[in-house]
Amino acid sequence: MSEPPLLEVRDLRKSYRVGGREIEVLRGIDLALARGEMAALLGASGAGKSTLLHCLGLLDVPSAGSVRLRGVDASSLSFAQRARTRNREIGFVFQFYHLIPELDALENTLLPRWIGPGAGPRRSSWEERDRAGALLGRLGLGDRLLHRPAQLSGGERQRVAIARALFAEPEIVLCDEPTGNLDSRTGSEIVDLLLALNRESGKTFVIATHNPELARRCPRRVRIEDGKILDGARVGGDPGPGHAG
Amino acid sequence: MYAAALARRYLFARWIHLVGILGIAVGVLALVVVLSVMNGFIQETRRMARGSLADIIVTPRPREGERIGPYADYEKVLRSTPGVAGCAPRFLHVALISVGRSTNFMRTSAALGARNAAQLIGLDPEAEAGVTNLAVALSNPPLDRTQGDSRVADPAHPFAPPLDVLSPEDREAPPRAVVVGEQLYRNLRLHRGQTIDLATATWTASGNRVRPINRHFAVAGTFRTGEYEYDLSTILLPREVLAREFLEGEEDFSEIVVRLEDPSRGAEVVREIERRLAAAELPGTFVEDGLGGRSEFLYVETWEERKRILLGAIDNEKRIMAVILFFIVIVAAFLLFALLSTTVKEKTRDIGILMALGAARGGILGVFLALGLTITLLGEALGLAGGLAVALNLPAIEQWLKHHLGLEIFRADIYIFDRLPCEVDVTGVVLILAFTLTAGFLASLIPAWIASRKHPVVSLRYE
Ligand SMILES: Nc1ncnc2c1ncn2[C@@H]1O[C@H](COP(=O)(O)OP(=O)(O)OP(=O)(O)O)[C@@H](O)[C@H]1O
Ligand SMILES: [Mg+2]
Repeated sequence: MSEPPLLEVRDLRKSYRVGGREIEVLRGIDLALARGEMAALLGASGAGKSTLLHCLGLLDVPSAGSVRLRGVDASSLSFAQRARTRNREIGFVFQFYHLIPELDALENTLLPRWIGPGAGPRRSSWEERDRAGALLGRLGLGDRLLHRPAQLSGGERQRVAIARALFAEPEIVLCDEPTGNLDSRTGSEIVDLLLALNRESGKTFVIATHNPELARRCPRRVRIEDGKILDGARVGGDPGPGHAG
Repeated sequence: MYAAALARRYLFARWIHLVGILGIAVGVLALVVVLSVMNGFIQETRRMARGSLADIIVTPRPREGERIGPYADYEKVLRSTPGVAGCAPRFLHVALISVGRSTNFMRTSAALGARNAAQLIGLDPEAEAGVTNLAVALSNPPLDRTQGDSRVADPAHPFAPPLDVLSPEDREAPPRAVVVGEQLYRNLRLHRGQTIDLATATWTASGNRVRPINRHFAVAGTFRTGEYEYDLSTILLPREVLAREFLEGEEDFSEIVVRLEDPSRGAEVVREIERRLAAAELPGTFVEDGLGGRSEFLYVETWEERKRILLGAIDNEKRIMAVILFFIVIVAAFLLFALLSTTVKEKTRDIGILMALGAARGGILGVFLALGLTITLLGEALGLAGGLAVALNLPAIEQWLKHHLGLEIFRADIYIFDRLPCEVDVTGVVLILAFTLTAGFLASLIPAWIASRKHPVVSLRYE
């Protein structure tokens, strides 16, 4: 028997009720992601990319269908268990950065560890702070560690958000339009960064984007149209390096 | 927990949180100050009332035709009662005062509310020592020195004729001396060495006519217990003088003040004294037997019982003030509730972020609960510091307000004291802090709970 895919959705549906009318945004999504894959999630604005990412990241509960992480159905988990799973296994990068304005770059990066069990701001060791500093340094923010989000540029904020998503070493990183608010040069830098991170760490990336450069450079592209995966579950061939088949 | 760290950042991120801190501080400050004053009133009343009355007062009540005395018989019984540290006899009577001015002065002053009547207390200064605070009252410096230092020359012998101030003819054959309460002295504009007339009345031997008695005295000086009413209405004189001059020596005392070894055992000793006096079958100490109830004729009571209406009134006022002031704290808690609710609203996106990063509901609850409790505790600390500072310096503050702003906060002629009393009540303060903390906790709980129930995605999308 083959190992189950890292993340798998089957016949996933999501609908919203607005003013008494049912709006079906996702109408039966089937998707499997292997370890180390890097997939671009494409589709028109309003197609449901963010909605799908939220379901993949166990932030939202689908109306029907299943989301399985390592073969475990997310709907069988309690809110607290899903929270713990998000903390350990999933990193989010949001289109609008979503940093905590009262914390500096270093603290924002450390936040997932603070939230995690047994840790806390007092007990985040010097070793951990060094590690967070080094990670921010790698992302080119070595001299911005003590800047608050308001004291950072958009690109810098996005890089802090990426550092935060990566710091707790999650298996899966979900990015929602990571280059959406950046100029093309900064956007390219972020794309380079994400690709490099995927190559080095073997983490699984799903990146919702309108950025054609980013889409082109991703090994795998998934397009949503009309609430379904249009291009088939596997466009762009090669599963990532972590996938043993 | 990250909750405390995040709460600390949020606290300073919104200046409006300081309003919450101030609100709680004001409530705590008001409570601490007002309850300290009320407590001061109670403590001061106890001290004073006790000072002039001792711990227990024994008042024999003779039946028709019966006479109480001699004191020595009662003293023997009292001194042999366990728990009694000492006792002294007193004689109580009332008199009209005439200061030897025109009747016009008397009438006008009466119309203006001056007292021309006084309670006469006949006592033995030596016996009072160690039983009541007479010596202290005699040596208390006068509050108002506009009439000079009116104290008696020698507190150990208060009824010695004031030879230093007597007129030469009075010095030849000095009249008997009395000591006047300071407020009365001031009220009647007396001076040391002045002679006054005390007029009282007694029944004729046949028992159906009132016969006036009028006697001449020299004012030896003043005493001050600090109990305004007492100092306004009391004249002290030697017990045997009162008995001889006004009552023709029929009886030699009317009540006995008793000092206890342990004042907290008052009720117990009262019962024992009642029993022993009744067993001795002394006049006026007959105790109704049968139901085991209290005597119909003998009154033995603690000073607290005698002053129960006054003490009860102040205690009741303290309670009422506490209830009213606790509403300030409750209003402050509502303010905190409103503040935290807006903070939770403003931080909706942060809540979504924290949840996306793996915060459980308990963690979010913790963040805002910690914020509310931090505000409450800071407010309490500020209010406590301010309240103690005001309470401990209240006399100075009162004087300052009076001199610089003309604000007279405390008027001695209205209250029973001549000074604004203030004493911090530690149990009360602990209660205030505990109540405020509870109110702050409850006020924080609802917004924090609402925050923790938010949907992660809805929060993230919140604009
Ligand atoms: N809470 C909601 N209630 C009702 N409709 C919603 C809700 N959230 C999302 N939708 C609808 O779901 C659809 C998909 O939204 P989603 O944010 O997933 O789009 P998207 O593909 O990420 O678009 P974009 O590229 O602009 O970010 C939209 O049409 C939106 O109106
Ligand atoms: Mg979107």
